[in-house]
Amino acid sequence: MIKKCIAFSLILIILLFTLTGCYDSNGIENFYYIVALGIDKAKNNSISLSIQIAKSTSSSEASTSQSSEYKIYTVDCESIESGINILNNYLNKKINLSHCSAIVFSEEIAKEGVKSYINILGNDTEIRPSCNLLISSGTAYDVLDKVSNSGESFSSRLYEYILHSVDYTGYTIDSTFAHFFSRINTELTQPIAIYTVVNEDTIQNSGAAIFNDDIMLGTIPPLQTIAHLMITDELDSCMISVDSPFNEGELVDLNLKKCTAPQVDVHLMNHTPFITVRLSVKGSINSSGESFDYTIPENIKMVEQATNQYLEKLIREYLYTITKEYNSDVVGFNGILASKFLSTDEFEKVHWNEIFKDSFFKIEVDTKITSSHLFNKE
Amino acid sequence: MSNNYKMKKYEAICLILIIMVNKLILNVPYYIIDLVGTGALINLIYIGVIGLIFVLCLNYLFQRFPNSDIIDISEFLGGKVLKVIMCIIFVAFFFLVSYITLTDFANMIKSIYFDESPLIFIMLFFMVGIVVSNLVGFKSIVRTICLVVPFTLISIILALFAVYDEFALDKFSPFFGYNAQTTFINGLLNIFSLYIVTYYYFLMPLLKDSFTFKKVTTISYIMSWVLLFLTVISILTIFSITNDTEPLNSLYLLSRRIELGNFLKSLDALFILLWLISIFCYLSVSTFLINRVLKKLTNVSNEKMLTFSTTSIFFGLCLVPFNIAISRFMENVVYRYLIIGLIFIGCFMILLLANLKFKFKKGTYEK
Amino acid sequence: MNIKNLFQQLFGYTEQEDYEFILPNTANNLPESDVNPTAEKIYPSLSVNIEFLKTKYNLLINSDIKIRKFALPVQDKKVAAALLFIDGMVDESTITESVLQPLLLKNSITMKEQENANKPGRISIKNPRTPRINLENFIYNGLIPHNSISKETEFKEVVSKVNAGFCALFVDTVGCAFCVETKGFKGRSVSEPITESIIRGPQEAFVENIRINTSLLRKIINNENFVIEEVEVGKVSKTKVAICYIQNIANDDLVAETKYRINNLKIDSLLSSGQLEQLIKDNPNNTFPQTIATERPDRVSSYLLSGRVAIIVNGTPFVLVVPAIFIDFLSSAEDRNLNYHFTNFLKFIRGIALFFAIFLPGLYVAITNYHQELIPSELLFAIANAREAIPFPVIFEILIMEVSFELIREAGLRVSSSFSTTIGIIGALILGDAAVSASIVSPILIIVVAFTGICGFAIPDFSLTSSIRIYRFFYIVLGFLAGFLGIALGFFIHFILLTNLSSFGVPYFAPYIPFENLNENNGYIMKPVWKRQRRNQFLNTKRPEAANKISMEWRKHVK
Repeated sequence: MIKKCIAFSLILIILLFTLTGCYDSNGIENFYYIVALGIDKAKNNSISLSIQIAKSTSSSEASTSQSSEYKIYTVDCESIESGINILNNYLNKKINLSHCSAIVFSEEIAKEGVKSYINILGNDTEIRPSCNLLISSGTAYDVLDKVSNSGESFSSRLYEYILHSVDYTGYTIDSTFAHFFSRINTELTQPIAIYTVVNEDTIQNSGAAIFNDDIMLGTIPPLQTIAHLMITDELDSCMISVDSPFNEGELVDLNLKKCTAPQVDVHLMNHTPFITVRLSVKGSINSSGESFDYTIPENIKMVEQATNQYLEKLIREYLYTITKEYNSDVVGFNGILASKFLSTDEFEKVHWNEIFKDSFFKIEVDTKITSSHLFNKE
Repeated sequence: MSNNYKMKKYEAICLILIIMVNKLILNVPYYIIDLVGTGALINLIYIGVIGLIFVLCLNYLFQRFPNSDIIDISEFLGGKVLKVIMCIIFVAFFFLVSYITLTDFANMIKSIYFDESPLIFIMLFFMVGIVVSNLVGFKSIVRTICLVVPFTLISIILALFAVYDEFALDKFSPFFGYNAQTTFINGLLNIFSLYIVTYYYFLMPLLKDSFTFKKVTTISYIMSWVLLFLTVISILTIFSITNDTEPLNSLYLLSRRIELGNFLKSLDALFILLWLISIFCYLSVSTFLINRVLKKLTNVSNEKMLTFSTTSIFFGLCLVPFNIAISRFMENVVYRYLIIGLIFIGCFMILLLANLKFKFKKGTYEK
Repeated sequence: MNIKNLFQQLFGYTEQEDYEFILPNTANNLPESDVNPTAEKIYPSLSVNIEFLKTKYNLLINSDIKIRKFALPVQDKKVAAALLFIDGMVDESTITESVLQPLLLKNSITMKEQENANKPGRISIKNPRTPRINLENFIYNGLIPHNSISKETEFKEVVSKVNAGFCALFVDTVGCAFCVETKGFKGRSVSEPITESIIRGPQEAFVENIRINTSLLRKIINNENFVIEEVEVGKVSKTKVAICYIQNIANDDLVAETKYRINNLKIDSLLSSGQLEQLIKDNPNNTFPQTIATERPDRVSSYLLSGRVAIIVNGTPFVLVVPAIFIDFLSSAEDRNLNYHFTNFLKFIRGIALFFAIFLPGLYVAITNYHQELIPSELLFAIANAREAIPFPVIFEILIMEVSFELIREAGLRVSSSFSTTIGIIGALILGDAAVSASIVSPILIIVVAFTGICGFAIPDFSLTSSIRIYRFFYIVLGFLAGFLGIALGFFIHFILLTNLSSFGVPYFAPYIPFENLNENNGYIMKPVWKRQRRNQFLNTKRPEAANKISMEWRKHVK
């Protein structure tokens, strides 16, 4: 028995030391965790890859503060993979993308096409599907730099807030990497991404970048993103200012929430898409002008009508932008049309890309003012 | 003698479910979608009904042969020769199926977590699991499966919840897929996804009461079908069909989408943990069945002693060089036609002929 | 051992040898009359009475029921009499002094005096038919000088009094029994339980003496069907081992199997119940406990009443209860006394404690080495920050901490209580504070190890805790080798080994694995006390009904 035990443990130990190298065991300290990845255009057909990493502050005196320093490294390279390799070599620690919360492309590179980069990143198991995708109006480096100097102790959190702010402002859109990746590879919907404007010393997410296939065509302004979010049913609440129906030049501020899911329908009429959008929203008055007494039912009704008109105009503008100006189906009307067909073969005879720009619309908005947030009468 | 353990009704159902779950984790749902496109839903309902009729036929045909599996029945039908042939075929079949499953899964986790480890190192872990479980006995395997199944099912259902947000009916349209011919005629090949039928041929002697066979097969069939259906729905929801990319290991990609609030973001490793355990269970059952068939072939009384030999052969098999092309060929072509040819046609014919023989030579069958 | 042998062992053929006992189902609900027999009057004939008591008390096997037969001299005759009492529950000196002595000695003296008084007149010769004295009154009034004595005419009363520590005197030709209060214990006084302290419940513990222990049980159970059999184990030591069960509840095969195993131990000496536990458990190589060891009489009696068998070893204050299932080790004696909501909450907490006590260090190693993406970003940066100055890899760090934790624990246990505070201070200061400030371990790891330790202490059963301590190290190594793949292998093998366990024919994870008759079991979730109508089905007891369908009968009368 003892002999057997000794032999068995010997075999085990030998196996343990020869066969098992714990090959992939890498402690946390062996990695640099990237918070954000930026891709810019560089000279000679190459790209300039910027990474923002959380660098641990050396804690010689058992420090209690957990703030990390954020550093940005930039390298010129042929592709993302080789860039990361060069950075690995330069930093002497392995770069890990598993905590990357934002990927930033510059507008310049987006207008040339991002498919190759997106597909490389999409096959990387480290990238999270929920990672944000930003298009910078300047360079991607600027975005990373401005975020680093924003004073926020957790930069990764700052990127995450972008997605949450969408829920109550509606001034940009909810664009995760997973969405972008699946949209870039399908014909049913075109990709759309967050557009970040780089100012003097801050950055600001406003509007969205519209893509066709993988090429960025242009942007839509913040108000039109509200229309986009309303149609795609992603909006929780937003603020709009409607011209007061009582007094020229005055505004009524409304807080809008969706009432029921939007009804979007697409028909083919003489080979032209006919898009019907029915929205029903409920709103509450946040502030009003002097001449508006919201305790009178007629006045409420007038505000409702004004809101309806305002929203219809907004949505019409938005739809004209994406059809006539960009010809890019970022809402996914194509998919809705697909449900009208029984088989894919039939559906493919409709050449959506050619007819989408000719589409015409019918928009109906039904607003209900439910309550107000005001405590004073005016 | 824990290897003569007889399963109760729910244990057998759990056993069948864990086998189903393993294929869901791997590429089976994807291959279904690959063939018929958005018509997958209607195709699944269609093959589900056909499969159900098949299972009911099996129930009826097995009524005459309580406590016997397909090996016994083929012995009854064609004597020793047919028995030996069937034994060899099934041993090879189980080896192949486990080989496909293991190499596929091992390669998947290798590409996710163990980039630098050699494949042999990952395989060794599975081999250790197989050896231990088979040495301890079938009873423990079955009971462990009973413990594991609820968690695995929860994990899959959670993965389905991840796509709840993006669920929309127009993701499944056009409803009939590419065209009616692909969905209903070529789509018939998708019946391979209900490969759990294989295990029904061996289930009878493992059951405590042979009259529960009917219930076990029907219930487990329906549950497995529902699981398959739900998985296909969620994969269709997340991955557009006209995608240029092919979402291999789609359930894993799905699990990556799961987030608990803003804090816990990528929980896929936990899913992998659960699925690893279910793979362990599945491989143990496979090895047990190989041992069982070999026992019938060689007439040894203690099949546990075959474990080392079986596992060694299996291990050797797993070291055959492997790449994604082989995997695709194996799963999409070899596996598909093998299941249809062997299980849905070959064994069924044997069962049918044995029933006819039984009818003409009344009372000669004893077990 | 050479290579050839190894190959022979791996690939060669050997016959299988397994011992497997399966608890057969003999459940048939005994009629109510069998448990509470109809009142029977005491017969005037002593031999009939004794026969009746023998069957009632299972005298042939019951070891602590004593019947002392003697001849009571009344006048010139000798009347057969018998004294019934339970050893251990009565004070022997009281019996000797105030029952036996007066009956035997004083009685004969008075009789002789009477004879002497009668002699001179020779009245006895003249009048041989002396008036028959009333024996019943004679004994009751004059023979037993004890303060508390009662006459009983029904067996039911007698039995209940004897169970409570009285001794009963039966005399031939007398149709009643005299119950004399002779309660009393001897030996070391019963103290509070040390290892299983609870807040709400009795504070009594078993002692080393087997007789006192049996009497502690008898005091609670109070039923004549409670059988205590005694066997001797050990060729040299001849240790007394008592097997206790309630005859009309416990499964016969379970009792027979227990006796069979204990009777077939060919050892020289048996010193403790811990030794016995290892000798009789089904899977001796598995470290998980398969018998309950407790020092609380109330806990043992509740198990006995649910149909299990208790084994008392002389010289050990720990009593073994078989069969044991997994959830028993997560339940405390207090559970039955508390509100069921709270009990279930506590069980849940203990389940979590068990999970973390086994897996937490292993999971920590696996996650930090392989699956960093699982950690939330901010937490990960915090950990990375903390680990920046640590020279060791995680595995080494955690092994140091775990080993030193075990050391502190062991040292604290061994030294006398006056030193243990010192050890606590040293442990807390050196390992908690100094190691962190010296950058040997990271603070987060201290939290992990401390949390694991706390979880280990939250598990009520000592033997379960100690087996967990070993597995923890296995999981650390496996987690380090291959992350979740290793952990999954560990899980799987662990499950395989655990589900293979059975304790005296009962599967270890009963009633959930195998999953059967859930409504009839009080399983992992404790039902409210009025719904525990049935005994656990997996025990296959003779009386599955533990209470009437509606146990709170008073509710029926409320309008």
